[in-house]
Amino acid sequence: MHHGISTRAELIDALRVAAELEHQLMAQYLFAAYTLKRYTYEGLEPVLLERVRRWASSITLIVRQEMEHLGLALNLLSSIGGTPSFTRPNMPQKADYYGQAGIKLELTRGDLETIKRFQRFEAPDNLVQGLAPGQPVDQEAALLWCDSEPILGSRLDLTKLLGSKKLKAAPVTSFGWSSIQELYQTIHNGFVTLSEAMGERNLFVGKPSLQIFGGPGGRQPTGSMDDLNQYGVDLIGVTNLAGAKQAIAMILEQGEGIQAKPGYLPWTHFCLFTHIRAEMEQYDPQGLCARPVVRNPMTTRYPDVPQDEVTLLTDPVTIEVAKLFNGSYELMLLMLLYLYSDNVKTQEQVNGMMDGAFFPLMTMFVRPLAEVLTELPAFTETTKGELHNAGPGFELNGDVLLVPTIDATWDLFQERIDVLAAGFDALLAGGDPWLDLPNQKEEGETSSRIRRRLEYMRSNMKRLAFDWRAHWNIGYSSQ
Amino acid sequence: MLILNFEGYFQMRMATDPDPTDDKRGVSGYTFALAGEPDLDAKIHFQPDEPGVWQRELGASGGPRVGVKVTSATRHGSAAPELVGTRVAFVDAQILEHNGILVRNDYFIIHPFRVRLLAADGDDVLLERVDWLNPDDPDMPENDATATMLTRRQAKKFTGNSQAVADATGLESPANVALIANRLERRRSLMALQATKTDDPIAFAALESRIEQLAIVERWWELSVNRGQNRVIDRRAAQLALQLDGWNIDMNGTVAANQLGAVTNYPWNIAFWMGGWDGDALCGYVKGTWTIPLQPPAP
Repeated sequence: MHHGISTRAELIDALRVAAELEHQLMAQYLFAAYTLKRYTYEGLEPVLLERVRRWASSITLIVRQEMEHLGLALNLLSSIGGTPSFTRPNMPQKADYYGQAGIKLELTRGDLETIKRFQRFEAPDNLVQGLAPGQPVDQEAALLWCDSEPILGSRLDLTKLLGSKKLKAAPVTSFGWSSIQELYQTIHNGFVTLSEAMGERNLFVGKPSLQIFGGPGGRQPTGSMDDLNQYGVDLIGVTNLAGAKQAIAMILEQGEGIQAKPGYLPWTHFCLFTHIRAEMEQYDPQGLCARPVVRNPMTTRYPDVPQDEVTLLTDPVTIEVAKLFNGSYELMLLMLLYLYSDNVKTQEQVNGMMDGAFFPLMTMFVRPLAEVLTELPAFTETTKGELHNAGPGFELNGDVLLVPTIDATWDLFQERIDVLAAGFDALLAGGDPWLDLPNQKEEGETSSRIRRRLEYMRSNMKRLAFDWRAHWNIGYSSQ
Repeated sequence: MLILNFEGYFQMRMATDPDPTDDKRGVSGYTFALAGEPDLDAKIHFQPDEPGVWQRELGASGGPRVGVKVTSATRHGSAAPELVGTRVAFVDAQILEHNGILVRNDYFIIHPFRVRLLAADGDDVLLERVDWLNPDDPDMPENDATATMLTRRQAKKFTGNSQAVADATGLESPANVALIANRLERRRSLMALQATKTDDPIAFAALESRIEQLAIVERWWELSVNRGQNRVIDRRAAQLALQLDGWNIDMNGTVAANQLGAVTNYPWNIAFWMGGWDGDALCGYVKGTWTIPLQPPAP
């Protein structure tokens, strides 16, 4: 049990941990979702394919809400004068990286063992107490929690549960929480404690304009962020204790189901994973619904990870696709980081960045590149193990840092987009090495399915580069 | 002048944001190729016999059935009843925005843009003309188009809770409460339909997914942290009465069929709106006017 928070610095540290954790969960969930079989040519009969599609839909909903939780954690951080960050360690990490919480960071395909791990990540405290590290949640108890009336405390009022007692100071030097729920409960109490101790006006010193918000509760005047509610996402701004409490309650309600109404409980992350687990145990205990994707596929060895858990990609073409994925992912993070910065920017620039970062990069490059990777060979060797496909490593070459000078920002982003466009050109200049892979030939088509998908991405990346240059007057106009 | 007023339901089997726009089955949006259904083709189909159309069963509640027809016509100012019932098609067309890369904020273009008028029965093509984004380079991909070229092809205005859409599609009302009720009525209808499919596991599974999706119109109401002002209508319901208006294009390309005496060296104007999107049926409504200059009548 963590001892609590009594200084701003401790609260900032805890919120950084929370943001990093949400980011890590998001990457792991995405990896698993992208490995699930999706096409009629992958050998699953239609009813099972439909079931697998629903699993993937549920996991991607959870991921969008993890993105929301990451955004809320950063808004909470920004509200008290902290510096938002997207830095996180590469995966995998040892099981004790997050201490007693037992959150093993690794990228594994969407099979039953992976879903059990995710279910435990999202479990309410009372269902993980007493479990050994790595031990799955008791499924019978989980189903009782999710499918029954709230007899297990799912509707407990968080504030009554925690109280608002003043807590003793304790250094936040390592991960001292036994679960995600406890982490957020500690943060909640930290906000209450510090508001009482120093007053809300003194605690919430961050500029509201440095937060990202949108969705049903948002106040964003223009831009696509107004539509976030359509994706099951609601990013609220935080300017006072009530807002902070609401943000934390939303995270715990959507995740673990704390305080959730019975009608919403089936949509919580924990219950969605619980039901996926139940279906996998019945219909896919062997993991045949996931592509044979290796664990922790990386293009290179990073010093900060346990080397024996990494799968190094060796297929040179696949590595190039993986580099495009990593480049798109990192650019998206840089654009998001810019939005949280105190650089002077016009509303038009903010909207342009949102339109660039939230929609095209996420949906038109990061996602399809990841999916393509799970169909590509990881290795050049002809002798293949049971798992032999690649996957998206979400690799980061160090910290994700803001471009230091605002004047150079647009040009440097342009440069990165141009590099990605050139990367697609170079990749596709090599013919169609994918045509002989399983399921890649299609009647009436001369090129592989993968090549056509990559060509579509190349065309769109070039358009993005063209539009970015024109919109920000870098070089020339499109008119 | 020949004036053809047309309307009716079209089909568009496409993945929805945040799926990438070339997704073949749909996973993170709210439209899918379900069990037993072919891949999504992302094309606009105005006629039910076009390859790629897959009309789902809707049960007792009824709903959209694909078919866009001329509802009234005039030729040189006089009624032309012989053209009523002729069929309109957008050939191989797609609604494009590439998730904000090509155009922003869902002000879609339609591309390629080839409009065809078919006889009421049979395959006889009465009129057909194409519009080019770039007349100097007809084969230019849409991603190479300038802003001016795109603007000419774009829709101009969104109207939520549109009475015009409700009037056209027969919605009881464009108000949110009616839209939600409509989706829940469809849901009940599909549940009844599903009960008849117990011996057809593929149809049963597809209906299960549709029923689940139609329940989501209420999801936001269930979150306890949402305050009153947060209550928004989900897009699965909202789009039933959403109108995207303002497509107005002077068609500039080659005339491929001309059985009605049209002038071919002047643009043919077409103006229309699309809306009333039913994400369960994967159908929407289109209503517009095709205005075509004619050769002078014989003296």
